[in-house]
Amino acid sequence: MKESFLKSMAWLHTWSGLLVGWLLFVIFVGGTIACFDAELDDWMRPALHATAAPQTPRFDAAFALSRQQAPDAHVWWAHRGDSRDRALESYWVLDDGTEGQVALDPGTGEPVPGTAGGEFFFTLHYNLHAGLPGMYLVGLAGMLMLVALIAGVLIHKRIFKDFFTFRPRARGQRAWLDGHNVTGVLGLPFHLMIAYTGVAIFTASYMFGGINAAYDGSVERFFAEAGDFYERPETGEPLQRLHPVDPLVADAERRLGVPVDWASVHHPADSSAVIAFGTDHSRRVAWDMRQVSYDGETGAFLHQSREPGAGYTSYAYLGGMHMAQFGGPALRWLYFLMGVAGCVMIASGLQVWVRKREKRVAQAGALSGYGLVLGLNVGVVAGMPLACVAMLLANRLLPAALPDRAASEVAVFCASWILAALWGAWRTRRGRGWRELFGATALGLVAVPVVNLAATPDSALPATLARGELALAAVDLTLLAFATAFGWLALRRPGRAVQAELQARLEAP
Amino acid sequence: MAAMRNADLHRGPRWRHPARVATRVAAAVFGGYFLAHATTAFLTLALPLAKADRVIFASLLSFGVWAAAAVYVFAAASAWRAWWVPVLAGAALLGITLLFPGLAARP
Repeated sequence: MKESFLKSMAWLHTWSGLLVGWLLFVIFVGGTIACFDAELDDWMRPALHATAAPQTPRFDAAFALSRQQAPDAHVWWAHRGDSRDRALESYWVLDDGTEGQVALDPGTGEPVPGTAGGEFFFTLHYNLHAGLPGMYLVGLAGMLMLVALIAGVLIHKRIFKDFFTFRPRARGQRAWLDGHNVTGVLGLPFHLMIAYTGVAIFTASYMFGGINAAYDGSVERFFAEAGDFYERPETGEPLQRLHPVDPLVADAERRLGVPVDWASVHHPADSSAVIAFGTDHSRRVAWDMRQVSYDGETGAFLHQSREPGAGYTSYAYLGGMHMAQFGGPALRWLYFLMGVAGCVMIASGLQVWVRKREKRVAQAGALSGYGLVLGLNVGVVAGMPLACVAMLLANRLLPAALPDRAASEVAVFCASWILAALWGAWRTRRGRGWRELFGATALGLVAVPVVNLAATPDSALPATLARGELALAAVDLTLLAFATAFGWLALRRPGRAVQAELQARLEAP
Repeated sequence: MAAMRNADLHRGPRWRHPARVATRVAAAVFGGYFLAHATTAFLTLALPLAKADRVIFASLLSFGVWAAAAVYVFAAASAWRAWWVPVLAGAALLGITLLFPGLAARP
C-alpha cells in the first residue's frame, strides 16, 4: 500500500508541477522582481532622480490631471511620493473597468516620461496582464503549486538528508535533482506560505461558496461589511465643485494616527462624490486597510472604518505576509532571495523531467510532446530573463518624448521574449540554446549600468553612490551580480557525461 | 492485508497511459474544487462565528480541503472512486447548506 501511495504521490508531484511549471516560473520571476517594485519604479524614472519627495502630499495636483484625462471616472486614486518611489501617481478607473495612470513630478506636478515600471512585474505576477482570466489562471497555478509542494514532501522519505546532498559534478539528472531538492527543501516553509497566501488573497474571487451562502453572491456587500468601507449610491446630480483634497490630509492623519499614503475620489462627477484617505502597510504584518471618508462637496467628515474583526484581520495578515510591505529593506531582500530560490526550484524541476526521459526525448524529435517541453523549458526559463533585461535597456534608450512610452517598453519585452524563445528552441536541438541565451542575458545585464551611465549619467552608479541613493545604486549592482551568475551558467564547462552526449548527438546521422 | 499489499505492488497504478493521468488531473481540479466550494458553503452555515468571519475562515480553510482532495484523488485505488468520493461528499455538504439558506445568511 505504502509503495503505491508513494508512487501516486510522485505522479501527482510530476504532473501538477509540469502542467503549470512554466507559468509558475513566470509568476515567480515577476513576484521576485516585484519585491522591489517601488524601488524599480523609481529607478525607471530618471527624470525624478534629482528631486526629493516633498514633506506634504500634493493630491490636488494629481486629481487635476485625473480630471483632464477622465472627468467621469468611477474613481480617481492618487499615491503620494515617498522614500521608496518619489513620483506622485495619478490613477483612474472608468465605470467599464478601463484604467489609466500617469506619474507626476511631486514638486512641480508636471507629468514625467512614462514607464511600465516595477508595476509591470507586479501585474505580471498576479494576472499576467490578462485581466480576470489571467487572475484565475494564476490562482490555478498557485493551487497546483501548493499541491505539488505537499506531494513533494510526501514522497521524501529522507527530506532532511536530501537537504545536505548536492552533487553538481554528478551526471546530469542527479545534479538537477539535487538542485531541485536543495532549493525546494531550503525554501519549503517560504514556498508553502507564499503559495497558500497567494491563493488566499483572491479568495473572494476564487472560492465564493461562502459569499453565495451568506451574502447572496454579492462580493461588494461582503467586503463593505468585513472591512467596514464607506460607500454611498450615486445621485445622478452633477457635483458643483470638488472640495480641495490637500487641506483634509491633516484631519485624516489625526483620525488615523498614522501618515496618509493615498487619497481617492469616488464618482468625482456626481454630487455623491466621496473623498477618502488611507495609509500604507509598512507598520505591521497585517494590511492596514482603515479609511477616513469625507463629503466631496463640503469636505465634511463622513466615516472612519473601525478596526476589522477576527476574520478580516486574519485575511489581512495572510495578505500582508505575501506582499512583504512590513519589514523594511532587510525583509524585502529575504523575500527576494527566497523568490530566486523558488525560480531555481521550478527551473531545475522542469529540467529533471527532461533528463529523466533523456532517451525518449532524444528519439521523439522536435515535433512531439517531448520537443514541446524542451522548447518551452529553454524559451521560458532562459528567454524570460533576457526579455526583462531588454526592457530595462529600452527604459534608458527609448526617447523621453515618445508617446505611450510605457507600452513601447512592454512591446520590447514581448518582442525580445518571442525572439529569444524561438532562437533557444531552434538552437537547443544542437545543444546550444541555453548557453547562448544565458550568455546574451549576461551581456545585457552588464550593458544596463553602462547604458545607464551613457544615457542618464545623473542616475548611474557613480552619481547615485556619491549622493548616497543606495536603492538606485542597488538596482545596478544587483544587475551586475546577476550578470556574473548568468555568465557562469553560459561559460560553465559541461560535465563529462554531457560532453559525451553532445558528441553522440553531433555524430548521429 | 499482506495479500492486498502484494497485489498492489504487482498491479500498481498503470499511470503510463496519458488518458489515465488526464482523468486524475481533471478529478483533482474539478472534483477537488467542487468539494472545496461545497465545504466553504457548509462551514459558512456551521461555524459558530459572526457572518463575515464565518465566510472568511470557511474560505481560507477551503484551499487546504482542495489540496487534500487532490492528494486523495491521486492516491485512490480507481479512477472511478477518484471521481465519486469528492463529488458525493461535496454534493452532501452543499445540499445541507442549501436546505438552510436563512441560517447560512444569519448575522
